[in-house]
Amino acid sequence: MTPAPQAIPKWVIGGLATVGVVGLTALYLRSGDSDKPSSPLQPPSPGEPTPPGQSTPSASAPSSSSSSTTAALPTAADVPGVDLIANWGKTPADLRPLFALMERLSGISGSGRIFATIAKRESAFVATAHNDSEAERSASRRAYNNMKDRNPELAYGMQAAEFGSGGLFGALAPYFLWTGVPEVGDDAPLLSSPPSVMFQPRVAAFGACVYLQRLVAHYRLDDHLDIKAGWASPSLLTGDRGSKTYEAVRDRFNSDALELGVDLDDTSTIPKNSAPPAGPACRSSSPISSASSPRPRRGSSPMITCYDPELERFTDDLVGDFDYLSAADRESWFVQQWTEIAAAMGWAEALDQTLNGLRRSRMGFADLGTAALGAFQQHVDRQREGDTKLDRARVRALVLDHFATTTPRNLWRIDTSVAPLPEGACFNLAKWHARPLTAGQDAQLQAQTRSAFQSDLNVIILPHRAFLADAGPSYFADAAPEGVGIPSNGRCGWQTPLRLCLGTFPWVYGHRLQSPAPALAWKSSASHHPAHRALQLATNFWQAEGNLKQDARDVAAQWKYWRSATAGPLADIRDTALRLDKQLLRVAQGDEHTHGLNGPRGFISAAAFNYIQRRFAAFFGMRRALIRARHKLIPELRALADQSPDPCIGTRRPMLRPEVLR
Amino acid sequence: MLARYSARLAAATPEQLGALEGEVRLFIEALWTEASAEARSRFLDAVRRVGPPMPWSALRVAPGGAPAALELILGQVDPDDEGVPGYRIDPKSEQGERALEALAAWDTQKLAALATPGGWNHATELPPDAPEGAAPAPEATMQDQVAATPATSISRAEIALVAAVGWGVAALSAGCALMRRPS
Repeated sequence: MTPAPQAIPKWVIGGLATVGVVGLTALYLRSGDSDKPSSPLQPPSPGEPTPPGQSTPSASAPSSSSSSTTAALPTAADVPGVDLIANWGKTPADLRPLFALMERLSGISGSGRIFATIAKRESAFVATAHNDSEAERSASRRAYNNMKDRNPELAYGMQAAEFGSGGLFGALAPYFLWTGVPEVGDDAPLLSSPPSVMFQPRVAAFGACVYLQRLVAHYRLDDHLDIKAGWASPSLLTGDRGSKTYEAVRDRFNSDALELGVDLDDTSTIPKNSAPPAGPACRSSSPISSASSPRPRRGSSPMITCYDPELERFTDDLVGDFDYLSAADRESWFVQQWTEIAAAMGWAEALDQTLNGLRRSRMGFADLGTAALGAFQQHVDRQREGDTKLDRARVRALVLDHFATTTPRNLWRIDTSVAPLPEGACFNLAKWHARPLTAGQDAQLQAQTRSAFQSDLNVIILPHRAFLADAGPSYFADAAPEGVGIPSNGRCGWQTPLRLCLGTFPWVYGHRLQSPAPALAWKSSASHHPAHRALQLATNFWQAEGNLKQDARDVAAQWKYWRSATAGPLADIRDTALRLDKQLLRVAQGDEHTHGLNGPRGFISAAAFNYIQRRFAAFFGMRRALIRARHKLIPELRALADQSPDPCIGTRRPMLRPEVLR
Repeated sequence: MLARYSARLAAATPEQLGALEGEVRLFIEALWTEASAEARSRFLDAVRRVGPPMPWSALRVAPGGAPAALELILGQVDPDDEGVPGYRIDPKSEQGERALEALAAWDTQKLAALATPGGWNHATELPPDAPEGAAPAPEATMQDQVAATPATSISRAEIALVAAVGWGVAALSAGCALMRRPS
C-alpha cells in the first residue's frame, strides 16, 4: 500500500477545501440508508465490533459489494446524467457511482476515474482494506506523534497511531481522522471517530476529495500522474520532484490505469492536461482546474462595487473571498497569494522550502510574510550587482524608501518628477578611463581591483538613470508629455517623470510586460536590496495595514485603465494556443512566458497578464474582507479605516456613485 | 505589430484605414518614445522619403525595403539588464547570422520560424530556401503570408523586425548585441 500523505499541513487550507469539507460531508451524511451509521459525527462506542475484511487486499479480492458497506454506497440515481460506462475500464460497477459522486461534489472535473485508478492500487477496490504491517503502523505512529500537538485531540488517538493505513484510498489513520482540521478546526467531522470509520466508502471518499483538493490548490501538478505522486507524498511534488521515487510512483500509476482500462488521455472523460512547465498555469490547465478556482464569495454585500460595478466578479473569479476574522481562512489566503507570486517569479521552490520549515516550526505561519520575503531575497541575491553598478542598488532602494515614506497612500503606481527624489533617480556608473595606465597603476589595479575602482585616478563616473523611462503610451498610462513639468536633470537626462507600478512588481513598467519581468533584474549590493524592498511594498497591498493605508480609488482607476488598454488585444487574440478563461489567459501548449497578447502598446506575456490581473484582484479581495470585518478589527486597523479619505470605506460608505471615483 | 499593420495598410479600404488610424498612431507613439534621438531622426528621414500622409508613411513597405517605423524599433534605447535576454541577437553566432540574413532579406517566412514572442528561437530549422534566382516576393505575396499566418507567426515576424535590417546592420557589425522589445 502506498504510504498515505506524509502531512496534512495546517497551512494548506485551500479555500475550496473549506467549501469542500462542508460540501463533501454530504458524501456520507446524505445517505438515507437505514444501515448506514446514524452519523459519522457520532462515533461508535469503543467496544464497537471491528468492521469485517481487515486484511491486506489482493488483486483477486472482490469489490466492496461483498462487504457490509454496500448499502451505504451511492447508486446511479445519485449521479443522474453521469456516464458510468465510458472509460471506466474494469472499475467495479457498484463503485462507479461513488467515484462519480466524488467528482461531482469535489468539482474536480475528470477526477472520478482518477480516484478509481488510485483505489485500484491502494485497496484493490476493497473498502475494508487494511495495511497493518509493522512498517505501516510505524508510519501511523510517527504521523500521530509528529502532529498531535498541532492538531485537535483524537478520541481514538492511540488506536489511530497503531492502526496503519486502510480504506479505499489507503489513508494513514491519524491524518485521515484529522481531515478537515485546517478548514474547520475543532469542527472537523472525524475527530471523534475510530480509525475503522475509514472502511466506510463514503467516509473514505470524503477524505480523498479533501486531500485531492489540497493537492490541486497548493501544489504544482503537471499532469495526471503527478496526482498520484502527491498522493504518495506531497514532497514528491516539491523537493523530491524528479527523484526515483517520484518516477516510480508515476510509472506505477500509469500501469495501474492501463491495467484497469482507464485511458488517462481520453479528454472526453478526463480533460486534457497540457502540462505547461511550471507555475500557476499548471494548475490552471490541469484536468482538475475547476477545483483550483477561488472560493466563492461570502455574503452578497457589494462592498467593492463602490469602486466599480465589475470589480466584485473580477475579484471573485481571480482570488475568491475569505473571512479576515478567521485565522485559518486568512492564513490560507496569504499562502495562496505567496504561492502565486513565487510561481510567477520563478522562486516557487524556495518558497516551498520556506513553507515546509514554517510548518515544522512552533510559530507556524505567524510570520509568513517575513519568511517568504527572506526566501525571495535569497533567490534574487544569487546574482549580485556588478562592481561598476553597485551604486544602482543603493539609489533604487533609496527611491523606493522615499516613496514609502512620502506617498504611503498612493503607492500602487508612482508617476512623479525625479527632481525631489534621492540622487535625482540617477546612479553613478563607474567606467574605467580609456587613458593607458602607467606601469605602477597597472600593478596597483591588478593587485587591488576594488580599491582602484574607488579611486578617481582611472575611473570616470557617468550618471545613469536608475530606472527605465516608461513615458510612452503603455498598458498602465497614457504617454507622459515630454519635458512638461520636469526640470531638466543635468545629471542623467531624465526628461520624463519616473513611472513605476509597484502594485504589479516585478512588472513595474507598463510598456515592458514581457517575461522575465524587468524588475527581477534589480540586483542587490551588500547593503541594499531594491527588489526585496519593492516586493515588500507590493505585498503590503494585500496585507491589512498596507491595504487600508492605500487609497483604493487610485488602484481602481489603474485597474480600469489596464482593463481598457488590454481590451483590444484580448478581443483580437490570434494566438491559437491562447484563450481567456475566468479573467486569466490559459496557454494550451507552450508556456505562459512565450505566449501572450499583442497590441499597439507592445507584447504582454500571458504570465505577466495573469500576474497583474491577480495582483489587482488580491488588493480588492483583501479590501473587501477588511470592509466586511471592519467593526471587529483590532483598534489600529479600525483607526486606519476611520482615517481613510476613501469614501468607500468611510463611516458613511456611499453606494456606487461615479463621482467618488477619481 | 509592424508587419501586421503594414499588411493591413495595403489591403485596407479608406473606412478601414480610418478605423485603424488611432491604433497605429498609438503604436508609432509608443515606438517613438522608446527610440533614441538618432533613431528618431533616421525615422523622420525615412518617412520623408516615403511621403505623406502620416501615420501610414511610417508603415509603408517599399520594394526591397522596410517600413520607416523599423528605424524606431532598431533605435530603441537599450534596457540593459531590465530587458529580455531572449530578444538579444549575437551577430557573431551562427544563429545570429541566420537571423540577420532573414531580416536583411525581409523574409517573413524565415523570420516566423526563427522567433517567438518570447524571443529568438535559434533551435528551429529554417524552411527551405527559395530557388536560386527567384525574384523577391512581391508585396502582395508577403501580405498574403502575413494574413494567412497564425498570430504567433505574425508576432514572430514582428519580433524579428527588432533586430536589424539595413540601418541596424551598422550597430550589429560593431559587435553590439541588441536588446529590443517586441513591438
